[in-house]
Amino acid sequence: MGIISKYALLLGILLPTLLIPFFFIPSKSIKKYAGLLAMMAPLASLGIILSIANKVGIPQVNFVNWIPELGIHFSFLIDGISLFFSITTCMMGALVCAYSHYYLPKSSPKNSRFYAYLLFFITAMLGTVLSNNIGLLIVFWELTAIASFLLIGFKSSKEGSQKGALATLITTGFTGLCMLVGLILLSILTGTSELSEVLILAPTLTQIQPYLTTIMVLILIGAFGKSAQFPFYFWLPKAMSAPTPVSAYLHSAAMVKLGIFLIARFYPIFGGNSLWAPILITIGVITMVIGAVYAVMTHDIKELLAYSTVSQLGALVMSYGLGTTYGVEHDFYQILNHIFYKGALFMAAGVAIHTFDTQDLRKMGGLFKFAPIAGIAAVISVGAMIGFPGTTGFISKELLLHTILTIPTQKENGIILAAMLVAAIGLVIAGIRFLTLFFGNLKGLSEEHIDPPSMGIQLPIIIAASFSLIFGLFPQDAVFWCDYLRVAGLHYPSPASLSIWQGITNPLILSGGILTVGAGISWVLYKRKWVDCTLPETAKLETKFDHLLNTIQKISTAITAGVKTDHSPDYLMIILGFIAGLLLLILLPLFPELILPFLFKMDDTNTLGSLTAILIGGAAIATLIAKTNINKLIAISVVGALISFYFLLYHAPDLALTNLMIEAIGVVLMVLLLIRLPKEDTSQKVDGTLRKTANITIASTIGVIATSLILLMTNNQVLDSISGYFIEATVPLAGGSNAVNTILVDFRGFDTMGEISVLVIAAIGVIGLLWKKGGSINQ
Amino acid sequence: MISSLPVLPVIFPMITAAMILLFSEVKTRRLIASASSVVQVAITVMMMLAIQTHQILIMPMGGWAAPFGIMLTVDSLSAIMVLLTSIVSVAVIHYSITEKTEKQEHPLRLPLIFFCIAGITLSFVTGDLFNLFVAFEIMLIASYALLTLEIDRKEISHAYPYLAINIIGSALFLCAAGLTYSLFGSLNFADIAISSTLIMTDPRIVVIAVLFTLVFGMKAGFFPLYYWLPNSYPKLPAPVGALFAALLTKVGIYALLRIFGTMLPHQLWGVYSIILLLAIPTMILGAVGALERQSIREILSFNLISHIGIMMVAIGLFTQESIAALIYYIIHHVLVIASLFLLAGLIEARAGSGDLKKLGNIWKQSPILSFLFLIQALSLAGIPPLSGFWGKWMLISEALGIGAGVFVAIIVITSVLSLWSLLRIITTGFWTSSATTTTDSSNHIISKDMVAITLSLVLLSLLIGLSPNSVIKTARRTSQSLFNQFEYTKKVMEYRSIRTPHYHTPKIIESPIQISPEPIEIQEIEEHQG
Repeated sequence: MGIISKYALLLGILLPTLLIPFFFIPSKSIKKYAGLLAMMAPLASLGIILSIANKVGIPQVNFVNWIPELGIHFSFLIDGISLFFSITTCMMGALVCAYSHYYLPKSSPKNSRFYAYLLFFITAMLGTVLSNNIGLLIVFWELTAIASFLLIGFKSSKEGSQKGALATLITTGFTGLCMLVGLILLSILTGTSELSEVLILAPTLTQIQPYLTTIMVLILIGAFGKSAQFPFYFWLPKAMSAPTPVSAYLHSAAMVKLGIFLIARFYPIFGGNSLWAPILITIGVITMVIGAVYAVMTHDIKELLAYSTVSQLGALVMSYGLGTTYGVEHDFYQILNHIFYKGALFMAAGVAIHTFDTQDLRKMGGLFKFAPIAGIAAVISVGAMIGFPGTTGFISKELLLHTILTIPTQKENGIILAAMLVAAIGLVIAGIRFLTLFFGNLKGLSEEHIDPPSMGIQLPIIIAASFSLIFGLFPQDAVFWCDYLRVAGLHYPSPASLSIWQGITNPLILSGGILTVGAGISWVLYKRKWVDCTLPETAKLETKFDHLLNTIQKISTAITAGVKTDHSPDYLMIILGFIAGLLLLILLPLFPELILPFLFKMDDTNTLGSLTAILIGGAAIATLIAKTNINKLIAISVVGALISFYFLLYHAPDLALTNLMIEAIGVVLMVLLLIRLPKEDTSQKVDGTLRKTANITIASTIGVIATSLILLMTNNQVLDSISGYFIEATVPLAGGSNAVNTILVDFRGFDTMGEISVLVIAAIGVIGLLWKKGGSINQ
Repeated sequence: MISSLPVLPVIFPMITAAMILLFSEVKTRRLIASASSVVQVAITVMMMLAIQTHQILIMPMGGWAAPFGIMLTVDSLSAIMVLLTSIVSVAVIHYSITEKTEKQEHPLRLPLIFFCIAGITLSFVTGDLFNLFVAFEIMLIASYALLTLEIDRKEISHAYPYLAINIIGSALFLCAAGLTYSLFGSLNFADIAISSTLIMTDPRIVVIAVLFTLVFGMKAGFFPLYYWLPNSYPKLPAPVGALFAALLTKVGIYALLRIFGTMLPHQLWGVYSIILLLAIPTMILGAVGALERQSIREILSFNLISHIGIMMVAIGLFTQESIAALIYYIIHHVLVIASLFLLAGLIEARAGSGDLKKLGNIWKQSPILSFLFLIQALSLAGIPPLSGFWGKWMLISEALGIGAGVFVAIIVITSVLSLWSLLRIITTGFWTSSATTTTDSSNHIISKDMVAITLSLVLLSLLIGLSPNSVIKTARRTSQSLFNQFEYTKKVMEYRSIRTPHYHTPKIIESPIQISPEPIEIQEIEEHQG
């Protein structure tokens, strides 16, 4: 492979990001056509990817070195799954760029930032779906979250944007980390981080089997977080504070499909696990029902779409759970269905929001007259959403019903079917409700005030919608393409053909029933002006999440207050207490004899020494008992003086002298301090006894520990000390007869130099403090 | 040249500090400071290069060889730390120079910064326990002075806990050093390492190890010894805060690595498990504290604590790979936290406050600064492909590989909390439009130089993030050499200098010091500890 084609794929993926600086060129024409220029980037990427796929065939691995030390490389797997998601990402990306061009306010300086984020997202998305390396997958996976964070927070000054962006990144960040742990485990156990190898090795290696369920659950948490499954789905409605093109792209067509992608990618490994189906079906069913019910119970147009997306994602997750060991069928068709109709609906909603300047469905209506193309697109897309014959949605729903009806009869069978029916009816109502914004009387605005949406903004909508119709009318074409993208281990070896008319079957009857019931309920709700569709805030998990965050913050405050990070006298005690406690904990089990220190053999039987020692002890105790500061000070200075005396006893006059000097200076300083200190206030004496007891306990424990440590270390010395050498060498090598002096100035002169600089620095510090007092820092 | 290389990065800042004190002309002082910090980088780069060929650089101070004299001993770990120090210093000093006008500059700030750097560097290059204590003293006394130098009179009480706790720490260090001397009869790391193999089973080694854990844990900010840190760092001027946050805690971590890696035998599983157990509350309380705080640098300081917790996990696992992860993580963390403190300083200068409630509109007013801050914050939280991620990847992989899943779970939770606390700065601080502070830009001009200095630090860490291979390789090689205690001790003890006494024969090393056996499962360790 030539050098160019080796890097071609990497270039294709990075291309949108590499084009970002281009949008910051201060040129009027670039600003003017920014969206249309941005549209070229995903198309170019798609061209590169497809031509590589075409040239070499699939599946293939494209490899460029990155971090060999960690086994992380730019390794890309071009196979059916990655191609399918690359194609949808790039095509929707191009449509959304074009749509944004007309959606965003013209000539706003913020636009270049918007396209920068969007193009960055496209790179992240392409990288994720094409990754063949576990590390690379995580890198791009997290990058999509960052792009999403920036795009949700694009209208940064709104509180909703701030909260939405934060909630999204925290949720997907957490679930992403769980996935990371699962993937690392998988890579450790298989000994490779290349997905193509992991997929082959994992089912065969026996050492993995005990961990397989753990790994699966961790990876599924990642998938559920990204694909807004219960209990993580709350971030998706919160993310609706993003500009509408972003919602249309990231939060319906692209990023939220990554969880589905992950499930599809790992199907060959986990499809046979006994917990795979139960987890996917349970979570999928719960999400599907919650999403559909909440989609009905809202007046906010974007929330309606967000919840219906949640519901659809639940259905997709469930359908992977219903797969057999042979694999699944027509999953790409179902994903395609959702991408196109939901993308189109979001874009249509964007047009409506632009026109009416509100997101409340009760205040919108009659838009069809002004935006007929968007209206037609919306009708087609709603048709797909509710499963109207002739659209992809119809066939998609038939397939799902067929799968549920043909699984071997189990107890759960009925529950799944019932949930499916509830969800489908809910979506029908939500879909019909969506159409009210196009039909009926013009609301909120008078006709002359309305600014009819441009042709350009409606075009991408109808393009997206037309796919629903084309693939709905000619499903065999879609099947042909999906068959080309078939992946071994995930899909049936040969797919069943699809057609609109398959005779009067049970799914058809159910479909008809769903539509009729849904339409009926919609009619009733419509007559009652949708007043029943208000959901109390408290019933939403979003609110619960906010509560959770608040609670965590409150707990944080409580904990930090509890551990006294702000009150200095207390934490001195905590620190000393901790030191004493830990040392006791270590010392006592290791050296039980320390409890009775007199068991140590004392070589020293010097009576004068013993007497001094006892006096020192007595003076130390006196410091504890003494009432006034002056008395305490006297006791302390007695201790110091006696220690100097003790040094003298051991023939160390220089040490004694030094110690005496330091003691003298110390006492003088403390007296000076005492003079300046305010008189003891009575308030301290309230909890005085408790504090005093604690202080005494800690102080004496530390004293005892220090003593025992010295006894312990000096007792039973088995190793030669270097100290003998100094006495031996002081005259011949250092040329001085006093070993202490030669150590200080010769053997270890470097230490002395350091200590002298400490004194110099201390002096500088004092000068600094004095300056502060003078208030002037001029020399 | 190479023979005296180890002492140069210590002596050079000291001489610089003295020279700055001698000159009264502000321009001259600044020129000296600037030139010296650049030369310092050159010296440390040379050191790094010399390490590639010589593995260990040794310099006996005053010609006295081990175990009697002080030997500066620079191995790969020391060279990395010294290089990091010089890189952070050059940024901090230039930021400090450009931050203030010539009249505003406190004449003592620059000399004290240089003294502090000298202390930090000495603690990285010394091969002697008591000399390490001296290095700590230089560093600490300079840091006390810096802390009180420009602090408001009202806030000077925040300096008190820093002082008090570090004095306790110094006293404890002195005790520990004395006790070590009385047990091993020596102060040289290599000499102690050999002696400790002779009394490997002596439980007193465990006591020594615990003492040093306390001493350096207090310096690094272990639970519950960290209280001094988050209250004092945010009060410092931005460049000094950056220096402290980036390096002072790392000195503690480095010293622990030196003690456990070079000086003591490698089987102290009980002590390692104490560190592991303390790591849990350190990580969690750090992250939790960051959530509660309301100003940028306080949030950063608490995040620092929680990341110290992550480093503690790496030390506590004590495998070659976990230490490699730690060394990588230190490299990343020094650069990122320094740049974040500098960025916080710039943003505070621009907005007039670091309080989240008072900040606002930063995203629109200073898009570049806030974007840089976002990148570094994400890096600190460990988002790929930024530098913080790879260290976490290495550590999590290693922990999973040896079955320490509990710590992985806590690291995951901490990372999420940390991410949250940092993003709060962006969302509620930078994005909000209702700023209550005066945005009178004429008062708060930040020079382009300051942005450029900060930017270069950001770019450096970005480079490490995007192309971490060589850094990881270096970290792994360093960890490998740290685990090869025998090589270190052999080189030090066999070093001959002109004043090595002829009648001194070095202790004979009969067998290489045992490298730790197969990693012990965590459960076992905990049982052992209980």
